[in-house]
Amino acid sequence: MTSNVRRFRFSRYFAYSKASFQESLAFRMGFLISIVGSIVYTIVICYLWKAIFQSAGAEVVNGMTYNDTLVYLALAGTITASVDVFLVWDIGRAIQTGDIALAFVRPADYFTMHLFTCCTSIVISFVVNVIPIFFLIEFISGWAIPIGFNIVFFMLSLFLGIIINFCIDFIVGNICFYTQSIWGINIMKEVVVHLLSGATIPLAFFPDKLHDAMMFLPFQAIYHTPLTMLINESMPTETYLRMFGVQLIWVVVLVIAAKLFFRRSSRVVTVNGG
Amino acid sequence: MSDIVTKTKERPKRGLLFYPKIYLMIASQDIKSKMSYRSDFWISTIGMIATNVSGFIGFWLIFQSFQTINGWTYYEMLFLYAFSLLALTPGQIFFDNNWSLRQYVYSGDFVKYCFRPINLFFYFMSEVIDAKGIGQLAFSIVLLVWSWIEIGIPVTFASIVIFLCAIFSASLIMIAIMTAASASCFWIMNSGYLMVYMFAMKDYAKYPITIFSGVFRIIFTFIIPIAYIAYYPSLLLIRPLEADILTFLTPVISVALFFGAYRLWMYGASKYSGTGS
Repeated sequence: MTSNVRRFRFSRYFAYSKASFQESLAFRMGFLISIVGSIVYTIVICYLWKAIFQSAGAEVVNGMTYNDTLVYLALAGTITASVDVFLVWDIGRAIQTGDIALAFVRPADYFTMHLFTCCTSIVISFVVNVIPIFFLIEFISGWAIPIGFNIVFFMLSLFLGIIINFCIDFIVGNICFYTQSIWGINIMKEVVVHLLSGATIPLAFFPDKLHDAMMFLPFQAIYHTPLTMLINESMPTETYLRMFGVQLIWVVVLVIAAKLFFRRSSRVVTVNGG
Repeated sequence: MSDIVTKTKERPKRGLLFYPKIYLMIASQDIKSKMSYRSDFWISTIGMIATNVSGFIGFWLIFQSFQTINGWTYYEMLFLYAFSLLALTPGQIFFDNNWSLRQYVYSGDFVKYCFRPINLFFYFMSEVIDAKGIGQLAFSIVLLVWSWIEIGIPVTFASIVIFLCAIFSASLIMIAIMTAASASCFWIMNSGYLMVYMFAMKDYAKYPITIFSGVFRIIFTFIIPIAYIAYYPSLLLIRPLEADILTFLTPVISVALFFGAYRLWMYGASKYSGTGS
């Protein structure tokens, strides 16, 4: 019996993916609004950085051209909107309402369950949101994104980035075991992740020392790594290996950290009556 | 019994202080209930300031590599940013219940507001005070004073009056936008997305409208009027020579928009028929 429960059952978690897929379909309006939001964001970024680069009077600033910056920021913004699946809110609310108790009796791992749920909705918003914006950027920038192996590397790296982002969300969500504040915790996470991952200002524009410091943090592995792979048509093999290596290390570290933290923090849960 | 009847029939005397007094009474209940979650207040306030600081860091980073943006200097941009934050604060603090309107309407709880013998909109809004906006208030004032001094705007009676008028109009615009967006829940489902989207538009208010061209300048001026949250009203202070007719019209537009949004909200509320359960 116990050995049966311990074994990882793909079909069990796939059920969560399916439920998440059906739930997404029920909120089609949300996709429509988010795509409009992404389009407006892309156009604002386009105007803003065009004005910035025009005033500078230089083609290349900090190793990035106007097109590089546009691709980098517009995609980072769109992906940010797509990967934000309100995990901190889900976990926080489950803790406040007491639904978290179900997580302890279910024969499913809480972390893996959320991972499958989140990945499904991210895949859907990727298809309806990121891909159209990708082509919009290609159109605006005059096909500035090279199409080749860089797309494959980008997708692989983005997948790892999404897992890293998920782990950070999960860890931050677990902080809600200790505090009463979901909004405050979530907004702080957003600020830190958006700024330090390069999603608001490309990391190349950070002063050297700050930039070097960012490279030791997990946040750059979320957007900066995949987007760097995307805008550069080809880089030396060692660079690819190093970048993927760093991402993989962060995935392993953060998955372990998230699971350990959940095991620890779930001991302090207090569910009020009911 | 007859005593009670005569008392209720008596028209309440509503002097000038009637609404402020009622407001304090209702709002203090909300503050009391929030006092029991003090750690939430502090974490939220720090979170609020953190978002503001990150916006500041964004400008700081851009100006590490660039001298100006379309002719706008670092401190002018900071002034616009601080002005927009300050203008958003009253809406954040006093009109936060807009975010909950949707739940009240869908759940049917909204009906409880319909039976109060005072202005519905007033009563609804006074029920919630969002104290975490105070962090933003403090941050924006510090940033505003700093950039004000750096730009060298003279501190005269006229400039102070202009500033107060400008900030008042700008705040009304944002309140109007959010009130209209939240009122949409009387007619459409999923109005939450519309609110989130409109709220996100405020992030673009901190840029001078001159960086946009053509269609987007028209959209941000006439359709989603975020250009009035910082750019048009603050022109008179930072670049008086560039102020155009829209700058002077900002107070009129803001009052008109707020009144329009208020009428829309009240109209939606008057059509509200509950959920039937």
